[in-house]
Amino acid sequence: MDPQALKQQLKEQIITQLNLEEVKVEDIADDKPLFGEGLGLDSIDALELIVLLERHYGIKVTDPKQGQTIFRSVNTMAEFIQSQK
Amino acid sequence: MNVIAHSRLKGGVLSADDRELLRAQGSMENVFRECYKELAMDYPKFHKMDAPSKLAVLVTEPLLQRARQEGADLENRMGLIGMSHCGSTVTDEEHWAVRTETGLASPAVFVYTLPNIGLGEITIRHRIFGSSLCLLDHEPGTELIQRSIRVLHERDGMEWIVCLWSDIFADRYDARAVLLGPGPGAPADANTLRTLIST
Repeated sequence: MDPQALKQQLKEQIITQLNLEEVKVEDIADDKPLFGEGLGLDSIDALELIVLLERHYGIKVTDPKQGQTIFRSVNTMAEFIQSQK
Repeated sequence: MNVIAHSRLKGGVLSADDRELLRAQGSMENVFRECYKELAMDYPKFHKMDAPSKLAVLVTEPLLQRARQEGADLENRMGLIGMSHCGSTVTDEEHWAVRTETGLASPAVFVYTLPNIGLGEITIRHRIFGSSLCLLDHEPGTELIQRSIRVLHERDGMEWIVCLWSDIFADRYDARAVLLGPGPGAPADANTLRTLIST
């Protein structure tokens, strides 16, 4: 999949899966931090992102420490997905 | 303790002190969304909650806003009594459905499979650190409510108490809440509680 299309799809999936009702795709910049001051996700959201990768991309994240790098932004998520193919 | 205010959310109507705040149409989800807007909550976490938590948060919101206006020490002197018949049953079912359908549990659904989670959401939103009680029963019995009020008020020193009955089964929902406190109002006796919560 084209990297831009993948990022767009990821943003839509994040909004849907995490019930970010007041967030639009255009609110999520590719390099915007997903946690902390960025999108403000919490620890349950982190678990939900792990499930998202498994459910939609067949990728299992087994080491929680990996998550800190993978889920830093949409950019890092997309890079990780493409590196697994 | 006296009844300072009361509220109800049922059948698309949100009311406080018998005054209609909102009348909304459509699904339960839509009604809850409209109530959220009407109450101007500006609390994105609301959208992540399960339906029983949303119901509990919405029906108590006008009361806790009122308590704050009255100068209540929400952090240390506010107690909560949450009662329900079905508890988190609808979320338990959703958890099971997601697992069956996808083979994977949703952490965001799973964390709500507890009957006292609605009380937890209220305490987080309003930074309440006082005592709380979660009770599951067939109906909101007046005697049990009064006994619970005594525990929080006399034993734990809660000057203010929100007493809540909220129940969801399938697409039917009903929530009633009363704010008890030291200000002027009808005494929180059996008759008053029966009228406001049990009927």
